[in-house]
Amino acid sequence: MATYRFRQDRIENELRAHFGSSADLSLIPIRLADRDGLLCFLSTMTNSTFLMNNVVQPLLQASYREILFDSAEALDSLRLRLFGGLNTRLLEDPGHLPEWMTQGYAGLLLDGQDRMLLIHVQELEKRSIAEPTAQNVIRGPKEAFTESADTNMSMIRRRILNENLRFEKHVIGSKSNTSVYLAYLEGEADERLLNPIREKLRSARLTGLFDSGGLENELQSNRFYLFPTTYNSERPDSICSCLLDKRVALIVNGSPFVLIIPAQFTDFFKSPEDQYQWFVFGTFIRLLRYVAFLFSLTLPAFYVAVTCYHQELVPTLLLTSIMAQRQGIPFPAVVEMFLMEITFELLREAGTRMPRLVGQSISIAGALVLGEAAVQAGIVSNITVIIVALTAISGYVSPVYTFGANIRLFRFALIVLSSVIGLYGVILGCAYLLIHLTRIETFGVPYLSPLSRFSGKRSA
Amino acid sequence: MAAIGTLVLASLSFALLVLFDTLVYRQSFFVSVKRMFLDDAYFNRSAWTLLVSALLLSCWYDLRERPFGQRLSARLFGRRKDTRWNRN
Amino acid sequence: MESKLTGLQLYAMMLVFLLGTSIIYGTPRLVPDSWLIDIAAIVPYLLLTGIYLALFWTGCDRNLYELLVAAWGKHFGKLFALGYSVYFLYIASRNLRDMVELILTALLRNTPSFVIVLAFVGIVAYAACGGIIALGRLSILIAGMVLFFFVVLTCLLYFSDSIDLERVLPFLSEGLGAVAGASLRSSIWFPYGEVLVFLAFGSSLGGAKTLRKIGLFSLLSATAILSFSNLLQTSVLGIENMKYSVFALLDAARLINIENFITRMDALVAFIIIFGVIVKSAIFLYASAKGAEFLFGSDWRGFAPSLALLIGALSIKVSRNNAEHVSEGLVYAIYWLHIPFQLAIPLATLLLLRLRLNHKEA
Repeated sequence: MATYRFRQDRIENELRAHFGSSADLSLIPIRLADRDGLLCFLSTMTNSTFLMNNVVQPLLQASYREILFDSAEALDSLRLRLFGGLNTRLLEDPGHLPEWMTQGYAGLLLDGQDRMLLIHVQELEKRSIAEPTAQNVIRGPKEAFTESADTNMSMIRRRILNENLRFEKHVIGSKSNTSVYLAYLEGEADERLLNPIREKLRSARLTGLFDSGGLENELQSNRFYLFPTTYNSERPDSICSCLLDKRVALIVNGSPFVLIIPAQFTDFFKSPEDQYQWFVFGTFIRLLRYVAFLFSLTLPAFYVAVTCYHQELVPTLLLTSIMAQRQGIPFPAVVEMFLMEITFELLREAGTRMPRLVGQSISIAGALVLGEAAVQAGIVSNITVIIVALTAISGYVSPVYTFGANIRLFRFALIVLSSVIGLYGVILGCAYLLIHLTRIETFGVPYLSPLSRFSGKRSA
Repeated sequence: MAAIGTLVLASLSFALLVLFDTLVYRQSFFVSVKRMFLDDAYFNRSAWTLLVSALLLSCWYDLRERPFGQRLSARLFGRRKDTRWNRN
Repeated sequence: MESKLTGLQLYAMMLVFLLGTSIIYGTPRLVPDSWLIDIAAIVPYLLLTGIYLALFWTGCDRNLYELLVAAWGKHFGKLFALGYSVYFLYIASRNLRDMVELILTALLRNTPSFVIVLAFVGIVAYAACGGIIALGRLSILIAGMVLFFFVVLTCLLYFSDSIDLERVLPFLSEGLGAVAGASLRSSIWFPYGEVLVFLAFGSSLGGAKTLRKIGLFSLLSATAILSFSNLLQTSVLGIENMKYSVFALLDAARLINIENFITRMDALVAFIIIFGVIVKSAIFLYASAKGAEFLFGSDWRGFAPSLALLIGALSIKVSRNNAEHVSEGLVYAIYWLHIPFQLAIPLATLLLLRLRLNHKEA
């Protein structure tokens, strides 16, 4: 006899009460041989073709002669015979049914049974694997991660054909219950690195997690660090080479950016392409990136310092030309620089947020504001425009976008410092940055590891 | 303890400076002390400002150890640790 | 913070420490052949550092302050520890004053020294508060930068045809005795004798064997680089100009002129000295804060910012003008501070420690 808990009408009422009048709740009565049953699932977590082919058809077309519906093993035999290829489980407690349903399970309730069969029917629409949008290479694989964690895990698994690759599931977010997978190579990744990360994931107090960026903030050990302590990438080949380098990856469901912990300063200047090309060229390009970073940080400040305080450091001909250009300009060099830099930041932000269709107007407006028109109006001088443009170009050279974003603010601080105490201020600002870099440690690994510890090991 | 330590170190180091003054300028000790306090107005102010801020800072560090100081610093800085900036 | 410095970190720290300000100022011009003074000082300073190494080895990796208390007993030991803390603060403020003088002369002529000192002191406190390992990592980077800039300066001087080795002659015009005397009078104590500071780090140094090897190596490389720097300065400026120039490397850098385009490389010299003095002051600040922690009990991180501001105050007050500063450094500081603190007390401590150990064994 059926126990009171699993009576069909009771389950139906409970589900309707729990999910409200949610339009995607499907409660379908079925009939197997001579037994009544109920199939309950959330129609938005599955698609009808999958359900038809894998659940409903087997149920309708099977012969039930061998199944004794009165015994307690009926569900087990159903499970083995009809749904052998799917992920199934048996549910003892009807209170957990809504939880399982939100994770993509369909519940099969049979009259007379005191358990329920849960069948995993999750079939969601995902974006197909496309080219990376944020990190491009010319020579190298052109696949990028998508928002589905399963696809991402499969993209990693198919590249590292190693039985030591592990994916650990964590659930983060008290209201969103987002799955986060911790990927590492058993035997390579250190336990001293894994345990603090697991601890942090367990104690994360977030209500919802929709992008790996939210997790980055949780994992940062000190929120005053100017540099990102986790590296993120859209490209499976970067992530895989980092995994082989004894590091740990975090895949967040819903985000195409996978995190790598711990990050090091040199990571943000590496593109996977460097290894796929001739080593001299790769080294040259990497050096170029460091120089570009330095330029984008200090060039405006340097210009302000030199024109205001240390005119003697500039070669005489260049000096006369600069001074001639600055003759009719009403603003001091600092104000000019600030105006132009802020205008450029506005342009950059507008360019990112704007819908694609109205893209043309931005480039026209930008050219006016940051170009000849502004110079001829007498607001800024030519040299300022050149410097701002050069700074902007150098700022884009770092292969990881979020790195450049963090450091842009420091450029403004350096401009202010240089306008107050000249070159000395710029040097002190750079010294501060350097000291800050040497002090950053993520999970025990110093940020500047390969540079300040010549262990000789070249990593990818 | 930090405040006392800074005070002791400060007074000893300034005494050392006074000693060198007496040696270099071959004047008596008291003249040197007077010159140290009363010399060039602008230089004076800045050095003493730095010294006073050093002492105040060490007092602040001392205070932070005591319960009163901990409550004070919790009121000024500490609360922010609980309310994270990535509130969802 | 009981982790150890690696060999490379210790080497870089000692190298930057020794090069710090000496590479800009050059050895004091007591003799026309100033570049020989450093070389002549090798044997004496090796003996001096031998005392320090012996002290470290006898004390079994203990702190300088703990060694003082172990040798002299609680009260005198603490008195000497106090003396050393003040001594380190004083040297730090002298170094800071050196740098401020250069900045005021070369870069920012009208800025009040208070602003320069305040900004700098903040950075030094930030560097020291990171701990000794972060300082080690920082020194590797700064050592690389200082050497790089120095090499660039040399190449630029070479390519602008400013180097003329004939300016070094006459060679040994005052004789070898004068050179040896000059080395004993000034070079041993500054900068080589200041290596004493490293004893205050105690167990972070990684053992007496490492200290001996790395210490030897860094002292010899610093001597080589400093002698080369002096030689370079003399061959660019000439002996007469060297005698009257306060910042020899700066004056040499001003003579760089490649095709009228690359001129006036003062900024390079400013880089070198600022980074060098940051590391030097951070090391002295750390040693002094450790001493204060030993004497007064609270955590050294609480002492560091206040002591940094104190160093700033001292550096403004230490002398009224550059002339007093230089003469004080050449004569009075040596007789009254360097000789007792760098030679007399460590030697006495070593003997006492040895005696006590023998007593204990017997």
